[in-house]
Amino acid sequence: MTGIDAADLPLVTRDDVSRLQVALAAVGRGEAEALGELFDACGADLYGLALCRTGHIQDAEDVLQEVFVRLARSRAGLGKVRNPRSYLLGMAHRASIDVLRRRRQVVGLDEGLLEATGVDQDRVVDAGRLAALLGELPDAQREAVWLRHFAGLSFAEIGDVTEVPTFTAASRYRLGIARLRRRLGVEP
Amino acid sequence: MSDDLFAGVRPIRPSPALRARVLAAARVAAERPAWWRALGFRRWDLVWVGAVLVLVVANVATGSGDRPVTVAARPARNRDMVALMRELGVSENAFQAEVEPVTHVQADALMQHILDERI
Repeated sequence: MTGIDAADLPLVTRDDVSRLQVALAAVGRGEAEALGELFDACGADLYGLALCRTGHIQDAEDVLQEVFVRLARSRAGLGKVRNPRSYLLGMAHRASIDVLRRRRQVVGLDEGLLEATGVDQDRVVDAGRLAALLGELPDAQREAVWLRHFAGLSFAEIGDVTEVPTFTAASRYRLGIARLRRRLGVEP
Repeated sequence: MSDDLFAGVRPIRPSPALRARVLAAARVAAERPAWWRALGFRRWDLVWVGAVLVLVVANVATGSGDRPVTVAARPARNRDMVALMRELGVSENAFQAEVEPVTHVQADALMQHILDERI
């Protein structure tokens, strides 16, 4: 989980990483105020991943709470985390799987995963359709696509978060995107 | 680019109310005593520890009295064969020390073997 250097991150600046490292280390020292900073920086990504993975808003909220409660409890080693975002997303990934195991049912995305960023009515329709198509992807592919596009992770980081080799993460992403393209009728 | 697929959309975001709830729960967890956090106790951990303690106490409470002695059943004997062995002066227990435990079938076979040698 901590095997990726900040220098390898493509979409997050080193300053961002350093800031998160400082916040995580502060949580490790028992400074609860730093939890808010972590939430503001990563809460949306963690929530989105949990929703993508569990398919239900209530479960995603539970996952998000579980991640932060675990963070507050397990202080040891937080100061040594080299890639805080991957670390937190990995926690959300595992917490989501725990929720699914407890629920013991197949994920069906019955909640809106995406929303339009503007007021363009076409995009609103697309957001609903895209969310539905994402929901039809296998769990692992959906997660890889989501982590790549919305959390901005590299394939190495996706592999780190989902505990699979980088090649597997990339393969899942490509299969997911290819399937989405086919369903949308978009040429590669 | 596959980025085009997701142009104009974004994931839904957690509400401010959820932020407050999550951070409140995390702060409560952070305020637990240091020894509690160090042990990493959670509800099910306590249930597990409690169950183990109950089992240990129950084992000690029920295991301290005298236990009944378990007696192994001796193999049944073929009465005619025993009588014949007595007539021949062969002790029916002569071979048991070496071959116990023996089953009924095994005992009969051994007796038969001894008789074959004697007769």
